[in-house]
Amino acid sequence: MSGDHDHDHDHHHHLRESESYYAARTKALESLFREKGLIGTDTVDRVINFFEHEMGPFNGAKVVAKAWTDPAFKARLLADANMAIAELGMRDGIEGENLKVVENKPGTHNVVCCTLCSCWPWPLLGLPPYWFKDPVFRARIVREPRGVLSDFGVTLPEDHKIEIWDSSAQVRYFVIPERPAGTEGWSEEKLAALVSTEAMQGLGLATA
Amino acid sequence: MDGYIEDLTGREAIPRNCESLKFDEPWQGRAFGMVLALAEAKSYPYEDFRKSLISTIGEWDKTHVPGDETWSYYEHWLAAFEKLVLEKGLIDHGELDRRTEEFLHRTRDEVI
Repeated sequence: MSGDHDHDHDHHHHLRESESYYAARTKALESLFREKGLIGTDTVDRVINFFEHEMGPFNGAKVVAKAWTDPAFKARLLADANMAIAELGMRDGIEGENLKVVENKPGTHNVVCCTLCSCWPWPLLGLPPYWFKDPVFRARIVREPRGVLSDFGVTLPEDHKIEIWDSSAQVRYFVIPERPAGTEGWSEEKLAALVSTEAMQGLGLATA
Repeated sequence: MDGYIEDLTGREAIPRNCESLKFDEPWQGRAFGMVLALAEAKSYPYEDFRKSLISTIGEWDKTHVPGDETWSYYEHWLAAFEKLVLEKGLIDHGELDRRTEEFLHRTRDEVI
């Protein structure tokens, strides 16, 4: 909307002040696309449904649990994440094609951000949570990662290294958090329940 | 963890996490779905939308400080989408404005 200083902007300024403008604008777009046969009447519902039920953090959590329990899988995941998640039958979606997995280790903590917009591994994590898209978060995470981490409730020892990974169209990053102590012998299912969206982007820790 | 976040207010506030698909208003979900539906239907490559979104957000970032309360992610999403479909000639500006008016003034009898 900014940078749009032509007459159209002024002409429609009165509309834009109204909250319902966006609702009407979106309906107008969908109505026109349906009319032109570019989408069907149920297309948008199907897309939303797909993101709600087939993509989501439960996929990412499964990948982490598998990596914790199967070192050979973890090695494949770190080498070629796309191939490894295909083994688990996970679908490629729009975005998420160029996935790179990084692993938290004692002394090294990885955090993911996208300073340009909000690139996000959708098939593994579903829709990005609000904080990921927020400009305050995007600006602060690079400048003061420890401050942001502490706002998320994560305090790391001073001597721990923090690596920031900036997701882009070329690569979207995904973090394997450290496996919590005391979870030896746990099933993958039980382990997966410990893994949050934040942990898979380095803004939380997995805890048992 | 929620407690830490609640202690931060105003400009420093970190928006609350939502674990699943949630939109503040229904139009945001429709706008989200349309962008992906048209990319899937090969009306444009998804990458073109992504570039449009980056440039829309980039323009905003240049003229606003982080934490500006007028920030609305899906308004940028919609603006980027609109710009793209107009540029691609999928629809034209006039018909989009006319139809917007119809929905705005409830003179169009179509359920979306």
